[in-house]
Amino acid sequence: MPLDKSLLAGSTTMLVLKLLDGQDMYGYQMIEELARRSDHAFALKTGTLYPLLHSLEEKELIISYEKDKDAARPRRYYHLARKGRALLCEKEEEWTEFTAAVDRVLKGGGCLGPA
Amino acid sequence: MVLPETFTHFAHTASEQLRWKAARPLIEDELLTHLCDQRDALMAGGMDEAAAAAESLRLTGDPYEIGTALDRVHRPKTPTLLFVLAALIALAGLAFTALVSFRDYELSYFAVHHSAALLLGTAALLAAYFLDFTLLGRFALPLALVFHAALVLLSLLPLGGFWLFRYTYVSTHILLRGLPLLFPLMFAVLLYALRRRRGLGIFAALAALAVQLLFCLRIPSLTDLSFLFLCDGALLIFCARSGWFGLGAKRETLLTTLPLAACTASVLVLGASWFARQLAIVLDPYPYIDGHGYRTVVLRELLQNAKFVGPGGVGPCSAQHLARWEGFGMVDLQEHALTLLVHRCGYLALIALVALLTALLFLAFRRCRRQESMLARLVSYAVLLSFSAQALAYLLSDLTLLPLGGGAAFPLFTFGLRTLLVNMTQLGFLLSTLRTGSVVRDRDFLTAQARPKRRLRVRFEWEQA
Repeated sequence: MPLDKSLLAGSTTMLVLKLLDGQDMYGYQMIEELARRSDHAFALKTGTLYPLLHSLEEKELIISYEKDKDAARPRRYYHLARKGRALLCEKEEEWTEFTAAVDRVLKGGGCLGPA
Repeated sequence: MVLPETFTHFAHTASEQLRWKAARPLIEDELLTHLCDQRDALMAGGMDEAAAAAESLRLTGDPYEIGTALDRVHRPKTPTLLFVLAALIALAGLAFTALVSFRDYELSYFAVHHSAALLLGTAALLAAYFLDFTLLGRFALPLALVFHAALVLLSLLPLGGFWLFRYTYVSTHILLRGLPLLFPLMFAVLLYALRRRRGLGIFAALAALAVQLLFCLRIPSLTDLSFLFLCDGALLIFCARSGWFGLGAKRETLLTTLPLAACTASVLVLGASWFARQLAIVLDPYPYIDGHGYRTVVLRELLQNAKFVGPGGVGPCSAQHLARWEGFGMVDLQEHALTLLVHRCGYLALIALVALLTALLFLAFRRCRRQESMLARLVSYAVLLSFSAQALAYLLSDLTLLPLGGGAAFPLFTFGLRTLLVNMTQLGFLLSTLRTGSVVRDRDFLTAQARPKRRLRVRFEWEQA
């Protein structure tokens, strides 16, 4: 079943920061990795990813750098900054609280399962 | 693999939506790399090249939409806080000059001169800010070569001065003073041009350092020499440690540190007796009051009689000195402005001034070290080092902890057209690195430098009828 895109919209920043938590990545790698980890449930678009990455860099949450500068086409990698890591922790906590609250509401309703 | 024209057109269209032109190459390259990565992945999945390229374009989306979204993010960053701090220091300098020289409700020569210098300096600052530091990168080698060649020629001028067109006397002292303030910036520009020049690069850097040193020796001044070694040496070691010359970081560090250390050691050994006398003056200047200790005695008396807030008193020697110079002298105003500041306004004024400059340098340094481009880092470090060394030398000299005199200035504060003009131009370049440094890459200049020369070939052929 295709997911409602608005569900993803509010959490894109968190997902991008989480992707960079383990290792530095370049743009296309992040799209692929997100699709792989979410079992192709989330498809991040180029038009969403790059403006988001650049605005996160502007806010000093991530740092970008070029690897293999002498290559014909060096890739721009993104690295999670300390400030970004702190924001990720906050966002993860917020998300846990949010999903727990949504779960409680849904489980309390009559349509999902036995009361 | 060949880059499809559709890719370049897509990336170009997207980047053209950005109103800030300086950011366009960065965006264009990133989108091109993205398109290529996507195409390669599709081809690895079994698609043929043409189909993969078309699919990659389709998946990436609308270039206008992407460009417009990126345009909202990318704007030149005006370092407002740093501008405000610099303006505060400059205005404090003007106010202090006016305060010291204000007499009988008339604007003094000093205040008018300082205002004119500030206006010229502001024009130079804005010119450097908007022309951008990338200008230095584009013409790095010619700029550095012309500057150092000019230093060699100026070193050949006769000491004292010379007559120009029989009626105008040109003082060599005035002509040559102030130039050392530009040494770190020009040395940084030279270092940038010497990337990957291997042993020749290191040799050229050391040769430039020797030219600067010889220039300073024409007018021996410990301030200039120490200033030179501190700033240029730090820049050279910074480049060597990052393997800038292409010989490997360890070897480069060794090759640059050893000559610098040898030079410093020889200066210390050769000038040992001079250093010993200067130390004796600092410890007790009174035995030398009729000679080199006079200045230290006057300054120390003014400092000892100063208050925390408000005007302080004088001692016997300083009272005599101030009476002779009607309260101040141009040399004092230029060379010992901070001692006069403490004497006239108290230590609190000095603390506030030093705090303002420290905040300016600290905030600028914090932002500069995040720069990706080596050019931006070299230019900003050169200016920051220059300002720090000037301020430190001036402060220590005015607090009589170092018996230095002349050459240095407290950046943006002290009276003097030359120093204000040079320092404000340097500040303009520094602030420009913070404005556009985030989107500037060395590749854009270095590939431009390596561009093959265009040659026009004309062939004549004789055609027989």
